[in-house]
Amino acid sequence: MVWKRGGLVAEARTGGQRVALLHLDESQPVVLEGPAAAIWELIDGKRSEQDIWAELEATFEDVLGEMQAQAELFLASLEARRLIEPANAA
Amino acid sequence: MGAQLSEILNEEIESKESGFSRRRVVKGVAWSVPVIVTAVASPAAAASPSSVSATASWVTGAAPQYSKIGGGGTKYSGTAPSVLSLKNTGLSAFSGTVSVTVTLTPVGSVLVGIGVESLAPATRSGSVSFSQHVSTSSFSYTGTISVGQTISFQASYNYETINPKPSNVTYTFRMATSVVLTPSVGASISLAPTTSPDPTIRF
Repeated sequence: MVWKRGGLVAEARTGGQRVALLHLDESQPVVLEGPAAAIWELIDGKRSEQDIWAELEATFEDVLGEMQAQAELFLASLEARRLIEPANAA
Repeated sequence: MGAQLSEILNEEIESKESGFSRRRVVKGVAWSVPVIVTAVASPAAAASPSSVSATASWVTGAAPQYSKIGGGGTKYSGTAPSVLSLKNTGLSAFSGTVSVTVTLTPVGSVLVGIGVESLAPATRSGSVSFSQHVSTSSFSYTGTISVGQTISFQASYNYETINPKPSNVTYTFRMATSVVLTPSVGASISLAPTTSPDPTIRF
């Protein structure tokens, strides 16, 4: 699966550490920090989920081995809020 | 493909250390659960959504049948919770996503791990993962829970495919559950229902 950022999402960021997002149909922005912001930076419409897992594993120390499962849940949450969408969607 | 994640993070660090030319390599940054944080509400919106309040608990009902991963094969019996019960104890309806992660860790030495195969009506995110016979299963459910309403998630269990399988033994596991309620508007809350007695499987 390849994800891209939603077409109706406005964003502002400070480097790669903190990202504020607003879906233009909503009235309240959300903020991503740390690993959440890092994952957002990797969602570019080109990287597959496997590419994202690989970059996360190369960057973060995952003591409990739950990184991929938690990242999958996070992507599902982003999709539920329409902040991302499948890159191959019509 | 664009810049590597470590390059993005390093650029951020370099920009903050403008007085130094030394490049610090970001490796082994501690992983933490990625979450969506709802920004502070504007005064106009602050009065509308009330905070989420809920309780979650496991209920041990009928003895579960542990099914082989992928189906087929012999089914084994044992004890384990059968229903995860989630009640909205707040003053307003909850509308959003319920994320559930269940970890089953063996007590002592085992040859086979067990995992939560399904948690209907929630949808499983990815496959049940096993590492050193410790399983992790993640589920997601999007919907609305009215004030005072209780919704039930029905659990079914599986076991690792191991050859040869053990016989005439009972394995015990510790069950840890994380429940995160993320409303479409407002802050998330986390719940950690406990399990008693510990799940077992009899081969």
